[in-house]
Amino acid sequence: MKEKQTSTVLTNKLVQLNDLEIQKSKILVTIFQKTTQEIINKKMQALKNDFQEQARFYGQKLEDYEESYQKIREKYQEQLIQIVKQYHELVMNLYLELQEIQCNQMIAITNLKKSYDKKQEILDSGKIDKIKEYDRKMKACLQKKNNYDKLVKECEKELDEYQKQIEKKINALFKDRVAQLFLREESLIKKIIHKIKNKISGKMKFNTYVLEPLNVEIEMRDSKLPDILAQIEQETILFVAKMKQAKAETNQIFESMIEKGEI
Amino acid sequence: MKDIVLKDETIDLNSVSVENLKSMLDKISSEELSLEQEIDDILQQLM
Repeated sequence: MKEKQTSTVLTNKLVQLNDLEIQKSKILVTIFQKTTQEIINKKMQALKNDFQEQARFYGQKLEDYEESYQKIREKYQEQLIQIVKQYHELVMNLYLELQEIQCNQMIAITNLKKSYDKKQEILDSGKIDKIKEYDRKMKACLQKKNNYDKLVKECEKELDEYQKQIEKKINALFKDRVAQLFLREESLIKKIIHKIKNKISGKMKFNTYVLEPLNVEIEMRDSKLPDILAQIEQETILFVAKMKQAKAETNQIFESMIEKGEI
Repeated sequence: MKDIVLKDETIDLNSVSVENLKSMLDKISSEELSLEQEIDDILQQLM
């Protein structure tokens, strides 16, 4: 009777845990998507602010540069999305691994309980020679569950790391130009001189110091992008391979414990 | 995919702010931790 109760309690707890893990995954994915969208929005806003500030500084009307700005904006966004998409793939792979490991862990716990039940049946029937076999199975299942615990922690740590890494990586690749702006409080005379200079060479300077560098920056990033994307893809492949190996090792330990009763 | 049920209430995660999602996550993580501990205790009893 007591065994049956324990079995029901354990099953209920496993179902609850499974529900929590599903909810947690959904929340983590949503946080990731929302956070990355916020990063993109922040970068796009910084680009817009910078463009507007520079146009004001060089006395240029924004409407005159609408077409150029749209092109820059579209390209900038496209590059940001490409990187985020690649990271998204990496993170989704991590989640899939995590879910598989958690699922395997539950199977190990269920099998431990099954072996326990079988052991009790044998104890009741008096055939004690088979008890050792089930003791071994229980120990092997517990070891498997504990090994999966380590893998779950590793997956969660990696996920956390990548979430932090994305913003750093994007900030390094898409540097905000606002900090480089040369705007300061000036005297009235200097302001007048600045206005006259803008009348004469504002357009040329805006082209030379704003539009051209922005286009060069985008082109340079375009040439770097395939390598950056390939590197993130490589990290995904390496992580999946690492997890595959870790799962194989966990199974090997389990098999060895079942067969020989030792690790 | 983006709906979860918490205390019999369906929540559209897309309508929740990141801060609130993080606090939901903290709550779930602590529930998860205590459930794992309870499961471990049961397993120890079985061993």
